[in-house]
Amino acid sequence: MKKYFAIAKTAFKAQIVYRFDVAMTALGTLWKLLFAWILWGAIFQGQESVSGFDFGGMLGYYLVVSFLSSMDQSSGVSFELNERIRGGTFSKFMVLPASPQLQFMAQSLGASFYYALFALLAALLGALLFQIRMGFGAEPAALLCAFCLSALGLVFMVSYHFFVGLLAFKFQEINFFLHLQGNLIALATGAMLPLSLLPKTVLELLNLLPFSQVGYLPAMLLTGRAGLGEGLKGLLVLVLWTAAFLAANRLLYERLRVQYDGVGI
Amino acid sequence: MRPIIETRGLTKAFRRFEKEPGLLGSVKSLFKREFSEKLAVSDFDLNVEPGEFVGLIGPNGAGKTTLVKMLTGIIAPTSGEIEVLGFWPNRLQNAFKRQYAVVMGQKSQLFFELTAADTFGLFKELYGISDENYKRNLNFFVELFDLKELLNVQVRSLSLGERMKMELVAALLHDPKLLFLDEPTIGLDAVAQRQMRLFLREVNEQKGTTILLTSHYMEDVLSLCKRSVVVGEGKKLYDGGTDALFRRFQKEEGEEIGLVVERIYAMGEKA
Repeated sequence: MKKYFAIAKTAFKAQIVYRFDVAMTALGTLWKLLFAWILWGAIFQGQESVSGFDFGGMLGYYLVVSFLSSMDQSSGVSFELNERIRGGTFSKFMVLPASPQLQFMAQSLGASFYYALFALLAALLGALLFQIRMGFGAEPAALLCAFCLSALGLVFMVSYHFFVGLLAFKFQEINFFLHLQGNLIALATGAMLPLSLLPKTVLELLNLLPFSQVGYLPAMLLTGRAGLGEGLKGLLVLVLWTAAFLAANRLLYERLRVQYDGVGI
Repeated sequence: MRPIIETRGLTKAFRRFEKEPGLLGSVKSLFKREFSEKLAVSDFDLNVEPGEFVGLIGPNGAGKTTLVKMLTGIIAPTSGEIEVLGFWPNRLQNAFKRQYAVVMGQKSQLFFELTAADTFGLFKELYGISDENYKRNLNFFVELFDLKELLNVQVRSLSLGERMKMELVAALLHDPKLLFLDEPTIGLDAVAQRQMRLFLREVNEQKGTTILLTSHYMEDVLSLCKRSVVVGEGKKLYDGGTDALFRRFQKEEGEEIGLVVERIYAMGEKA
């Protein structure tokens, strides 16, 4: 465990080297919020509510979702895997005495911690600037559940992206697929828009998948729009998917890595 | 004593994608893929005893790096037997990986954004090195290479020679029993190459580390390796004393090394 903590710490240190990037990261959440303010400001012209959200509630939702999506740096895992497997530098991870899956996990979580710090500052500033009053009307247990969903969500997203990245062993170049699935995931996590705006059957289907539990559900819990029951159901779904992906990754890695030819080194 | 490296009939075949030239060839290959098979390493027997310093010589594409990749477990052999430090390398067990180190001249283990000291600290945890051993080894290498002033400098801003020294230190901090070096002096100037050789000799003699060195710089092999293995088209062409090899192919005293090497490499064509 200590070694993975050291990897996370190193990843965190690597993030804070460049000051301009640090400043831009802090502004990232604010950009997203500003965009939501302009877009939803236009939609809310002449109507009080959209799918149960008033304008303030909608901005509150975006504040939480922007914070969570800024924190999630897992997409970098699949892009890095794709590049390293094709370019032959994946061997760097094979020769170290640590599981590659956990190395990537620690690396990504270390970066997430960095983004969480700055995204939190930006979110607080955004709440002040846009005068967003967070509901936080939910019971403490629901808030705790939202926290668990967010934390486990980060783990799930890394395991998912590790799985996708491993496909590069088989197909060598998966860049376009990575961009395509990235857009679908942004939709499925609720980062683009609240999933309650979608047709009921689509929402029910999405609730069975892990992605909505990573962004949409914690945001709904934190803004007091979902209860503990929904939170626990979501947590169960997420636990099952995470366990399935972690196990599948171990099997897939062992199966596919023998196809690695380490060309280019 | 049991060999630290033992291979019998080791073979690695790669499947290579091929296509006809031009646009039509590219379009055709989209529908019908054609592959050819290349034997990178063929029926290779090798024994290396603990403490040896062995040079692996051969022209580009001879199969040296493929052999090193199989010995470190990075790639799986197609057939044959292989045992390194008592392990089947491609199982990639941590107990195996803790006992060797690999330095490839064109590939880095260091974090470019951070300092070398940061990477060393990470490797301390990864390899579970005790505080005492870590301090002792770091001091030993830092003094040997005179690196004290560079430890807290961002790796990105180090020269190639300085970076290669740091790569070696990172690889040796955990006292590996076996060190694989693939072109460690590539791109280095004459002074840095000489320093690197002194360092490697010291590590081999003082710490008893077994070293398998792949290099195109014959000065590296001549000055460091008592034993050389010549590889050509994936096959072992020679295995014996380095001096004897050079005597065999040197036509006159003081002849340019490059000419001798040309004759050594030509061994494969004759075979």
